[in-house]
Amino acid sequence: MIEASPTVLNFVWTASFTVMTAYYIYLILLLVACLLGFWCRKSDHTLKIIMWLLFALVVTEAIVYVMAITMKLKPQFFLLYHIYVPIEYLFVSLYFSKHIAWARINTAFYLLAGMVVLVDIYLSLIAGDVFSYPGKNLNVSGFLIIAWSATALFSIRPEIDRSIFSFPVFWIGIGFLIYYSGSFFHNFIYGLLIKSDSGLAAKLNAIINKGVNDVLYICISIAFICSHRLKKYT
Amino acid sequence: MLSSPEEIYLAALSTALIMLVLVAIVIAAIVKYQRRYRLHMEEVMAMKQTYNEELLKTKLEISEETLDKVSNEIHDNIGQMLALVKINLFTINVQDKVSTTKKIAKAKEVIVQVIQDVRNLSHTLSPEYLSNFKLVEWIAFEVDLVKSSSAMQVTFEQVGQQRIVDPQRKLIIIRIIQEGISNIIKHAKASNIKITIIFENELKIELVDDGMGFSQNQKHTGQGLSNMKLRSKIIGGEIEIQSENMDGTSIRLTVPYE
Repeated sequence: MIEASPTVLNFVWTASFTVMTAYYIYLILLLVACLLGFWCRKSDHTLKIIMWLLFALVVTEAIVYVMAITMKLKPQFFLLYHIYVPIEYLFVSLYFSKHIAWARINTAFYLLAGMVVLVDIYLSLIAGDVFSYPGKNLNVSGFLIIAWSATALFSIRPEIDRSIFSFPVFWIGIGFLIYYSGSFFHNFIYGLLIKSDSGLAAKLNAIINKGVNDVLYICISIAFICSHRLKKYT
Repeated sequence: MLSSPEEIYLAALSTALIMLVLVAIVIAAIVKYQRRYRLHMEEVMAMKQTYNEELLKTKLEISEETLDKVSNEIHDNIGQMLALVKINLFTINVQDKVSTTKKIAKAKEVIVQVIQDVRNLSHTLSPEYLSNFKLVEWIAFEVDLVKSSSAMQVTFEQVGQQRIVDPQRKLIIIRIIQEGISNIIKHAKASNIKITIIFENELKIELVDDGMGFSQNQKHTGQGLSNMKLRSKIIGGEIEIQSENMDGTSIRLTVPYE
Protein backbone atom coordinates (compact mmCIF):
# COMPACT_ATOMS: atom_id res chain seq x y z
CA MET A 1 0.00 0.00 0.00
CA ILE A 2 1.35 3.38 -0.91
CA GLU A 3 1.01 5.86 1.92
CA ALA A 4 0.29 9.45 1.01
CA SER A 5 2.83 12.00 2.19
CA PRO A 6 1.66 14.82 4.58
CA THR A 7 2.25 17.44 1.83
CA VAL A 8 -0.02 15.61 -0.62
CA LEU A 9 -2.67 15.06 2.09
CA ASN A 10 -2.51 18.71 3.05
CA PHE A 11 -2.97 19.76 -0.58
CA VAL A 12 -5.91 17.39 -1.11
CA TRP A 13 -7.54 18.55 2.16
CA THR A 14 -7.01 22.24 1.27
CA ALA A 15 -8.28 21.68 -2.26
CA SER A 16 -11.42 19.85 -1.12
CA PHE A 17 -11.99 22.39 1.68
CA THR A 18 -11.70 25.25 -0.85
CA VAL A 19 -13.99 23.52 -3.35
CA MET A 20 -16.69 22.65 -0.82
CA THR A 21 -16.53 26.01 0.99
CA ALA A 22 -16.79 27.84 -2.33
CA TYR A 23 -19.68 25.56 -3.30
CA TYR A 24 -21.63 26.26 -0.10
CA ILE A 25 -20.95 30.00 -0.29
CA TYR A 26 -22.24 29.87 -3.88
CA LEU A 27 -25.40 27.99 -2.80
CA ILE A 28 -26.06 30.42 0.07
CA LEU A 29 -25.66 33.47 -2.18
CA LEU A 30 -27.93 31.87 -4.80
CA LEU A 31 -30.61 31.17 -2.18
CA VAL A 32 -30.34 34.69 -0.75
CA ALA A 33 -30.71 36.20 -4.25
CA CYS A 34 -33.69 33.93 -4.98
CA LEU A 35 -35.41 34.76 -1.67
CA LEU A 36 -34.78 38.48 -2.22
CA GLY A 37 -36.31 38.05 -5.69
CA PHE A 38 -39.52 36.70 -4.21
CA TRP A 39 -39.60 39.07 -1.22
CA CYS A 40 -38.64 42.43 -2.78
CA ARG A 41 -41.18 44.70 -4.44
CA LYS A 42 -40.59 45.01 -8.17
CA SER A 43 -40.23 48.55 -9.49
CA ASP A 44 -40.31 47.04 -12.97
CA HIS A 45 -42.13 43.84 -13.80
CA THR A 46 -39.30 42.48 -15.96
CA LEU A 47 -37.45 41.58 -12.75
CA LYS A 48 -39.89 38.70 -12.38
CA ILE A 49 -38.01 37.05 -15.28
CA ILE A 50 -34.82 37.06 -13.19
CA MET A 51 -36.77 35.90 -10.15
CA TRP A 52 -38.08 32.80 -12.00
CA LEU A 53 -34.63 32.20 -13.53
CA LEU A 54 -33.14 32.05 -10.04
CA PHE A 55 -35.92 29.71 -8.98
CA ALA A 56 -35.13 27.43 -11.94
CA LEU A 57 -31.46 27.49 -10.94
CA VAL A 58 -32.24 26.68 -7.30
CA VAL A 59 -34.28 23.66 -8.47
CA THR A 60 -31.43 22.61 -10.81
CA GLU A 61 -28.82 22.96 -8.06
CA ALA A 62 -30.99 21.03 -5.61
CA ILE A 63 -31.23 18.13 -8.07
CA VAL A 64 -27.48 18.40 -8.79
CA TYR A 65 -26.77 18.32 -5.05
CA VAL A 66 -28.83 15.16 -4.61
CA MET A 67 -27.26 13.53 -7.68
CA ALA A 68 -23.65 14.54 -7.04
CA ILE A 69 -23.35 14.54 -3.23
CA THR A 70 -25.95 12.01 -2.07
CA MET A 71 -26.25 9.58 -5.00
CA LYS A 72 -22.64 10.08 -6.20
CA LEU A 73 -23.83 10.29 -9.83
CA LYS A 74 -20.89 12.55 -10.58
CA PRO A 75 -20.60 12.94 -14.35
CA GLN A 76 -24.36 12.44 -14.95
CA PHE A 77 -25.41 15.62 -13.17
CA PHE A 78 -23.79 17.69 -15.97
CA LEU A 79 -26.82 16.74 -18.08
CA LEU A 80 -28.90 19.18 -16.00
CA TYR A 81 -26.54 22.04 -16.84
CA HIS A 82 -26.89 21.20 -20.56
CA ILE A 83 -30.65 21.73 -20.13
CA TYR A 84 -30.23 24.77 -17.89
CA VAL A 85 -27.83 26.76 -20.16
CA PRO A 86 -30.30 27.43 -23.05
CA ILE A 87 -33.08 28.15 -20.52
CA GLU A 88 -30.83 30.68 -18.82
CA TYR A 89 -30.02 32.27 -22.17
CA LEU A 90 -33.74 32.61 -23.00
CA PHE A 91 -34.59 34.20 -19.65
CA VAL A 92 -31.62 36.56 -19.55
CA SER A 93 -31.91 37.70 -23.17
CA LEU A 94 -35.68 38.19 -22.72
CA TYR A 95 -34.95 40.36 -19.66
CA PHE A 96 -32.38 42.49 -21.49
CA SER A 97 -34.49 42.75 -24.66
CA LYS A 98 -37.22 44.38 -22.53
CA HIS A 99 -34.73 47.06 -21.49
CA ILE A 100 -33.42 47.95 -24.94
CA ALA A 101 -35.64 50.47 -26.68
CA TRP A 102 -34.88 49.55 -30.26
CA ALA A 103 -37.66 48.39 -32.53
CA ARG A 104 -35.66 45.52 -34.07
CA ILE A 105 -34.58 44.06 -30.75
CA ASN A 106 -37.60 41.78 -30.41
CA THR A 107 -36.97 40.26 -33.85
CA ALA A 108 -33.30 39.77 -32.93
CA PHE A 109 -34.35 38.19 -29.66
CA TYR A 110 -36.59 35.58 -31.33
CA LEU A 111 -34.05 34.81 -34.09
CA LEU A 112 -31.10 34.46 -31.69
CA ALA A 113 -33.12 32.47 -29.17
CA GLY A 114 -33.95 29.86 -31.81
CA MET A 115 -30.36 29.78 -33.04
CA VAL A 116 -28.84 29.45 -29.56
CA VAL A 117 -31.17 26.58 -28.65
CA LEU A 118 -30.27 24.76 -31.88
CA VAL A 119 -26.52 25.35 -31.40
CA ASP A 120 -26.77 24.18 -27.77
CA ILE A 121 -28.56 20.99 -28.84
CA TYR A 122 -25.88 20.40 -31.49
CA LEU A 123 -23.03 21.03 -29.01
CA SER A 124 -24.60 18.84 -26.33
CA LEU A 125 -25.80 15.88 -28.39
CA ILE A 126 -23.65 15.79 -31.53
CA ALA A 127 -20.39 17.69 -31.05
CA GLY A 128 -19.99 17.06 -27.31
CA ASP A 129 -20.99 14.88 -24.40
CA VAL A 130 -24.04 15.55 -22.24
CA PHE A 131 -22.21 14.12 -19.21
CA SER A 132 -19.39 16.65 -19.36
CA TYR A 133 -19.18 20.29 -18.32
CA PRO A 134 -21.09 22.39 -20.96
CA GLY A 135 -18.24 24.86 -21.47
CA LYS A 136 -18.83 25.41 -25.20
CA ASN A 137 -22.57 25.93 -24.66
CA LEU A 138 -21.77 28.51 -21.98
CA ASN A 139 -19.32 30.25 -24.33
CA VAL A 140 -21.93 30.53 -27.10
CA SER A 141 -24.69 31.92 -24.90
CA GLY A 142 -22.14 33.90 -22.88
CA PHE A 143 -20.88 35.72 -25.94
CA LEU A 144 -24.44 36.80 -26.83
CA ILE A 145 -25.41 37.65 -23.25
CA ILE A 146 -22.34 39.88 -22.96
CA ALA A 147 -23.57 41.69 -26.08
CA TRP A 148 -27.13 41.90 -24.66
CA SER A 149 -25.99 43.19 -21.26
CA ALA A 150 -23.53 45.74 -22.73
CA THR A 151 -26.31 47.05 -25.03
CA ALA A 152 -28.72 47.19 -22.10
CA LEU A 153 -26.17 49.12 -20.02
CA PHE A 154 -25.88 51.71 -22.78
CA SER A 155 -29.67 51.90 -23.17
CA ILE A 156 -30.55 52.95 -19.61
CA ARG A 157 -32.85 55.94 -19.95
CA PRO A 158 -32.10 58.73 -17.48
CA GLU A 159 -34.69 59.67 -14.90
CA ILE A 160 -34.84 62.71 -12.63
CA ASP A 161 -32.87 62.37 -9.37
CA ARG A 162 -31.77 58.82 -10.17
CA SER A 163 -28.18 57.76 -10.41
CA ILE A 164 -27.27 54.90 -12.75
CA PHE A 165 -26.46 52.80 -9.66
CA SER A 166 -30.11 52.80 -8.58
CA PHE A 167 -31.28 50.98 -11.75
CA PRO A 168 -31.70 47.21 -11.25
CA VAL A 169 -30.78 46.64 -14.92
CA PHE A 170 -27.37 48.24 -14.28
CA TRP A 171 -26.51 45.70 -11.56
CA ILE A 172 -27.89 42.77 -13.50
CA GLY A 173 -25.96 43.91 -16.60
CA ILE A 174 -22.73 44.25 -14.61
CA GLY A 175 -23.34 40.87 -12.93
CA PHE A 176 -23.76 39.00 -16.21
CA LEU A 177 -20.83 40.86 -17.81
CA ILE A 178 -18.53 39.77 -14.99
CA TYR A 179 -19.97 36.26 -14.86
CA TYR A 180 -19.63 35.48 -18.55
CA SER A 181 -16.26 37.22 -18.94
CA GLY A 182 -15.00 35.14 -16.01
CA SER A 183 -16.63 32.08 -17.53
CA PHE A 184 -14.72 32.55 -20.81
CA PHE A 185 -11.46 32.72 -18.91
CA HIS A 186 -12.44 29.82 -16.65
CA ASN A 187 -13.44 27.58 -19.54
CA PHE A 188 -10.17 28.33 -21.31
CA ILE A 189 -7.94 27.61 -18.28
CA TYR A 190 -10.09 24.69 -17.07
CA GLY A 191 -9.81 23.04 -20.49
CA LEU A 192 -6.02 23.30 -20.36
CA LEU A 193 -5.64 22.26 -16.71
CA ILE A 194 -8.04 19.33 -16.53
CA LYS A 195 -5.69 17.24 -18.72
CA SER A 196 -2.54 17.94 -16.69
CA ASP A 197 -3.70 18.61 -13.10
CA SER A 198 -7.32 17.82 -12.23
CA GLY A 199 -6.88 18.81 -8.54
CA LEU A 200 -5.70 22.25 -9.45
CA ALA A 201 -8.42 22.47 -12.11
CA ALA A 202 -11.06 21.78 -9.41
CA LYS A 203 -9.49 24.37 -7.11
CA LEU A 204 -9.34 26.92 -9.90
CA ASN A 205 -12.95 26.09 -10.77
CA ALA A 206 -13.90 26.80 -7.16
CA ILE A 207 -12.10 30.12 -7.18
CA ILE A 208 -12.95 31.47 -10.65
CA ASN A 209 -16.25 29.85 -11.61
CA LYS A 210 -17.84 29.95 -8.19
CA GLY A 211 -16.25 33.37 -7.61
CA VAL A 212 -17.86 34.95 -10.68
CA ASN A 213 -21.13 33.19 -9.80
CA ASP A 214 -20.93 34.77 -6.34
CA VAL A 215 -20.40 38.19 -7.91
CA LEU A 216 -23.40 37.59 -10.19
CA TYR A 217 -25.74 36.69 -7.31
CA ILE A 218 -24.50 39.60 -5.22
CA CYS A 219 -25.21 41.92 -8.17
CA ILE A 220 -28.67 40.38 -8.67
CA SER A 221 -29.38 40.76 -4.93
CA ILE A 222 -28.36 44.45 -5.13
CA ALA A 223 -30.68 44.83 -8.15
CA PHE A 224 -33.61 43.42 -6.15
CA ILE A 225 -32.81 45.71 -3.21
CA CYS A 226 -32.63 48.73 -5.57
CA SER A 227 -35.98 47.72 -7.05
CA HIS A 228 -37.50 47.36 -3.57
CA ARG A 229 -36.28 50.81 -2.45
CA LEU A 230 -37.45 52.37 -5.68
CA LYS A 231 -40.94 50.86 -5.38
CA LYS A 232 -41.15 51.72 -1.68
CA TYR A 233 -40.28 55.39 -2.04
CA THR A 234 -42.24 56.19 -5.19
CA MET B 1 -0.31 23.10 -14.09
CA LEU B 2 -0.41 24.88 -17.39
CA SER B 3 1.60 22.95 -19.93
CA SER B 4 3.89 25.70 -21.25
CA PRO B 5 5.00 29.30 -20.54
CA GLU B 6 3.23 30.38 -23.74
CA GLU B 7 -0.08 29.15 -22.28
CA ILE B 8 0.56 30.95 -18.98
CA TYR B 9 1.38 34.09 -20.95
CA LEU B 10 -1.79 33.66 -23.04
CA ALA B 11 -3.93 33.07 -19.94
CA ALA B 12 -2.56 36.15 -18.17
CA LEU B 13 -2.94 38.26 -21.30
CA SER B 14 -6.52 37.16 -21.91
CA THR B 15 -7.44 37.82 -18.25
CA ALA B 16 -5.97 41.31 -18.42
CA LEU B 17 -7.72 41.94 -21.72
CA ILE B 18 -11.11 40.75 -20.40
CA MET B 19 -10.75 42.92 -17.29
CA LEU B 20 -9.78 45.93 -19.40
CA VAL B 21 -12.75 45.47 -21.74
CA LEU B 22 -15.10 45.02 -18.76
CA VAL B 23 -13.87 48.15 -17.01
CA ALA B 24 -14.05 50.09 -20.29
CA ILE B 25 -17.65 48.97 -20.92
CA VAL B 26 -18.75 49.91 -17.40
CA ILE B 27 -17.01 53.30 -17.46
CA ALA B 28 -18.37 54.06 -20.94
CA ALA B 29 -21.91 53.12 -19.83
CA ILE B 30 -21.65 55.36 -16.74
CA VAL B 31 -20.25 58.27 -18.78
CA LYS B 32 -22.97 57.85 -21.41
CA TYR B 33 -25.65 57.77 -18.72
CA GLN B 34 -24.24 60.94 -17.12
CA ARG B 35 -24.26 62.71 -20.49
CA ARG B 36 -27.84 61.63 -21.24
CA TYR B 37 -28.86 62.55 -17.70
CA ARG B 38 -27.45 66.09 -18.15
CA LEU B 39 -29.30 66.50 -21.46
CA HIS B 40 -32.48 65.10 -19.92
CA MET B 41 -32.22 67.53 -16.98
CA GLU B 42 -31.72 70.44 -19.39
CA GLU B 43 -34.86 69.39 -21.27
CA VAL B 44 -36.80 69.04 -18.02
CA MET B 45 -35.64 72.48 -16.84
CA ALA B 46 -36.63 74.02 -20.20
CA MET B 47 -40.05 72.35 -19.96
CA LYS B 48 -40.48 73.58 -16.38
CA GLN B 49 -39.59 77.10 -17.47
CA THR B 50 -42.10 76.94 -20.35
CA TYR B 51 -44.70 75.56 -17.95
CA ASN B 52 -44.13 78.35 -15.42
CA GLU B 53 -44.18 81.02 -18.13
CA GLU B 54 -47.40 79.59 -19.56
CA LEU B 55 -48.91 79.38 -16.09
CA LEU B 56 -48.11 83.03 -15.39
CA LYS B 57 -49.50 84.03 -18.79
CA THR B 58 -52.62 81.98 -18.11
CA LYS B 59 -53.15 83.66 -14.73
CA LEU B 60 -52.80 87.09 -16.33
CA GLU B 61 -55.20 86.17 -19.12
CA ILE B 62 -57.75 84.82 -16.66
CA SER B 63 -57.48 88.08 -14.70
CA GLU B 64 -57.93 90.10 -17.90
CA GLU B 65 -60.87 87.94 -18.96
CA THR B 66 -62.44 88.38 -15.52
CA LEU B 67 -61.91 92.15 -15.58
CA ASP B 68 -63.40 92.27 -19.06
CA LYS B 69 -66.46 90.35 -17.90
CA VAL B 70 -66.78 92.53 -14.80
CA SER B 71 -66.57 95.66 -16.95
CA ASN B 72 -69.33 94.31 -19.25
CA GLU B 73 -71.39 93.31 -16.24
CA ILE B 74 -71.08 96.80 -14.71
CA HIS B 75 -71.94 98.45 -18.01
CA ASP B 76 -74.70 96.14 -19.19
CA ASN B 77 -76.35 95.06 -15.97
CA ILE B 78 -75.54 97.24 -12.98
CA GLY B 79 -75.38 100.41 -15.10
CA GLN B 80 -78.79 99.63 -16.60
CA MET B 81 -80.34 98.87 -13.23
CA LEU B 82 -78.96 102.05 -11.65
CA ALA B 83 -80.24 104.01 -14.66
CA LEU B 84 -83.65 102.47 -13.99
CA VAL B 85 -83.44 103.57 -10.33
CA LYS B 86 -82.40 107.03 -11.46
CA ILE B 87 -85.37 107.28 -13.85
CA ASN B 88 -87.72 106.07 -11.15
CA LEU B 89 -86.43 108.52 -8.57
CA PHE B 90 -86.17 111.45 -10.99
CA THR B 91 -89.71 111.04 -12.23
CA ILE B 92 -91.30 111.01 -8.78
CA ASN B 93 -94.20 113.37 -8.50
CA VAL B 94 -94.81 113.97 -4.80
CA GLN B 95 -98.41 114.98 -5.52
CA ASP B 96 -99.17 111.52 -6.88
CA LYS B 97 -98.73 109.39 -3.78
CA VAL B 98 -99.72 106.07 -5.37
CA SER B 99 -97.27 106.43 -8.26
CA THR B 100 -94.53 107.65 -5.91
CA THR B 101 -94.96 104.65 -3.62
CA LYS B 102 -94.79 102.30 -6.61
CA LYS B 103 -91.65 103.97 -7.99
CA ILE B 104 -89.89 103.95 -4.60
CA ALA B 105 -90.78 100.29 -4.13
CA LYS B 106 -89.42 99.49 -7.61
CA ALA B 107 -86.25 101.49 -6.89
CA LYS B 108 -85.78 99.62 -3.59
CA GLU B 109 -86.22 96.28 -5.36
CA VAL B 110 -83.67 97.19 -8.03
CA ILE B 111 -81.21 98.54 -5.45
CA VAL B 112 -81.39 95.23 -3.53
CA GLN B 113 -80.67 93.38 -6.79
CA VAL B 114 -77.78 95.77 -7.57
CA ILE B 115 -76.28 95.18 -4.11
CA GLN B 116 -76.50 91.41 -4.66
CA ASP B 117 -74.90 91.71 -8.13
CA VAL B 118 -72.10 93.94 -6.81
CA ARG B 119 -71.44 91.44 -4.04
CA ASN B 120 -71.22 88.62 -6.59
CA LEU B 121 -68.91 90.70 -8.75
CA SER B 122 -66.62 91.50 -5.84
CA HIS B 123 -66.28 87.74 -5.25
CA THR B 124 -65.34 87.30 -8.90
CA LEU B 125 -62.56 89.86 -8.53
CA SER B 126 -61.01 87.99 -5.62
CA PRO B 127 -58.26 85.63 -6.87
CA GLU B 128 -58.97 83.01 -4.17
CA TYR B 129 -62.68 82.93 -4.88
CA LEU B 130 -62.47 81.28 -8.30
CA SER B 131 -59.41 79.17 -7.57
CA ASN B 132 -61.25 77.61 -4.63
CA PHE B 133 -63.89 76.41 -7.07
CA LYS B 134 -63.73 72.80 -8.18
CA LEU B 135 -63.38 72.33 -11.92
CA VAL B 136 -67.07 71.58 -12.50
CA GLU B 137 -68.19 74.61 -10.43
CA TRP B 138 -65.78 76.86 -12.30
CA ILE B 139 -66.99 75.67 -15.71
CA ALA B 140 -70.59 76.15 -14.52
CA PHE B 141 -69.66 79.70 -13.47
CA GLU B 142 -68.16 80.37 -16.93
CA VAL B 143 -71.29 78.92 -18.55
CA ASP B 144 -73.49 81.26 -16.47
CA LEU B 145 -71.39 84.23 -17.53
CA VAL B 146 -71.76 83.31 -21.22
CA LYS B 147 -75.49 82.76 -20.78
CA SER B 148 -75.96 86.14 -19.15
CA SER B 149 -73.88 88.07 -21.68
CA SER B 150 -74.90 86.49 -24.98
CA ALA B 151 -77.92 85.15 -26.77
CA MET B 152 -76.37 81.70 -27.11
CA GLN B 153 -77.89 78.59 -25.55
CA VAL B 154 -75.21 76.93 -23.47
CA THR B 155 -75.66 73.49 -21.94
CA PHE B 156 -73.23 71.92 -19.52
CA GLU B 157 -73.15 68.23 -18.63
CA GLN B 158 -71.01 66.25 -16.20
CA VAL B 159 -70.36 62.53 -16.75
CA GLY B 160 -68.81 60.49 -13.93
CA GLN B 161 -67.90 61.48 -10.43
CA GLN B 162 -65.82 64.62 -10.06
CA ARG B 163 -62.15 64.04 -9.26
CA ILE B 164 -59.61 66.43 -7.80
CA VAL B 165 -57.51 68.21 -10.41
CA ASP B 166 -54.20 69.86 -9.53
CA PRO B 167 -54.84 73.66 -9.02
CA GLN B 168 -52.30 74.79 -11.64
CA ARG B 169 -53.60 72.25 -14.11
CA LYS B 170 -57.15 73.44 -13.36
CA LEU B 171 -56.16 77.03 -14.22
CA ILE B 172 -54.77 75.98 -17.59
CA ILE B 173 -57.82 73.79 -18.35
CA ILE B 174 -60.16 76.69 -17.54
CA ARG B 175 -58.12 78.97 -19.79
CA ILE B 176 -58.39 76.46 -22.65
CA ILE B 177 -62.17 76.32 -22.15
CA GLN B 178 -62.40 80.14 -21.99
CA GLU B 179 -60.35 80.36 -25.19
CA GLY B 180 -62.63 77.80 -26.85
CA ILE B 181 -65.79 79.62 -25.79
CA SER B 182 -64.30 82.95 -26.81
CA ASN B 183 -63.46 81.55 -30.28
CA ILE B 184 -67.02 80.28 -30.67
CA ILE B 185 -68.49 83.65 -29.65
CA LYS B 186 -66.16 85.61 -31.93
CA HIS B 187 -66.03 83.44 -35.05
CA ALA B 188 -68.50 80.55 -35.08
CA LYS B 189 -71.81 82.42 -35.30
CA ALA B 190 -73.29 79.55 -33.32
CA SER B 191 -76.58 79.51 -31.50
CA ASN B 192 -75.88 76.48 -29.29
CA ILE B 193 -72.84 75.37 -27.34
CA LYS B 194 -72.65 72.07 -25.51
CA ILE B 195 -69.90 71.56 -22.92
CA THR B 196 -69.38 68.08 -21.50
CA ILE B 197 -66.90 67.12 -18.81
CA ILE B 198 -66.15 63.40 -18.50
CA PHE B 199 -64.32 61.92 -15.50
CA GLU B 200 -62.83 58.63 -16.66
CA ASN B 201 -59.27 57.30 -16.39
CA GLU B 202 -58.35 60.63 -17.89
CA LEU B 203 -60.22 63.90 -17.79
CA LYS B 204 -62.08 64.63 -21.02
CA ILE B 205 -63.74 67.91 -21.93
CA GLU B 206 -65.79 68.43 -25.09
CA LEU B 207 -66.93 71.74 -26.55
CA VAL B 208 -69.36 71.31 -29.42
CA ASP B 209 -71.06 74.15 -31.31
CA ASP B 210 -73.47 74.32 -34.24
CA GLY B 211 -71.78 77.28 -35.87
CA MET B 212 -70.33 77.81 -39.32
CA GLY B 213 -67.24 75.68 -38.65
CA PHE B 214 -64.14 75.88 -40.79
CA SER B 215 -62.32 73.79 -43.33
CA GLN B 216 -59.29 71.87 -42.03
CA ASN B 217 -57.23 73.48 -44.83
CA GLN B 218 -58.30 76.96 -43.84
CA LYS B 219 -55.39 79.06 -42.59
CA HIS B 220 -55.79 80.50 -39.12
CA THR B 221 -54.22 83.84 -38.45
CA GLY B 222 -55.21 84.07 -34.78
CA GLN B 223 -53.37 82.58 -31.80
CA GLY B 224 -56.46 80.93 -30.27
CA LEU B 225 -56.13 77.35 -31.55
CA SER B 226 -52.33 77.23 -31.31
CA ASN B 227 -52.52 78.57 -27.72
CA MET B 228 -55.02 75.87 -26.83
CA LYS B 229 -52.78 73.18 -28.34
CA LEU B 230 -49.65 74.50 -26.59
CA ARG B 231 -51.42 74.67 -23.24
CA SER B 232 -52.83 71.17 -23.51
CA LYS B 233 -49.34 69.92 -24.40
CA ILE B 234 -47.67 71.48 -21.35
CA ILE B 235 -50.08 69.70 -19.01
CA GLY B 236 -49.47 66.42 -20.82
CA GLY B 237 -52.81 66.50 -22.60
CA GLU B 238 -54.03 66.28 -26.16
CA ILE B 239 -56.49 68.38 -28.06
CA GLU B 240 -58.48 67.18 -31.04
CA ILE B 241 -60.37 69.66 -33.20
CA GLN B 242 -62.92 68.49 -35.76
CA SER B 243 -64.69 70.90 -38.02
CA GLU B 244 -66.31 71.10 -41.42
CA ASN B 245 -67.58 74.13 -43.29
CA MET B 246 -71.13 74.99 -42.10
CA ASP B 247 -71.20 71.92 -39.87
CA GLY B 248 -70.07 73.19 -36.48
CA THR B 249 -66.90 72.47 -34.55
CA SER B 250 -66.04 70.05 -31.83
CA ILE B 251 -63.04 70.40 -29.55
CA ARG B 252 -62.01 67.41 -27.43
CA LEU B 253 -59.46 67.90 -24.69
CA THR B 254 -57.97 64.88 -22.92
CA VAL B 255 -55.79 65.52 -19.87
CA PRO B 256 -54.28 63.22 -17.23
CA TYR B 257 -55.26 64.12 -13.65
CA GLU B 258 -51.67 64.56 -12.43
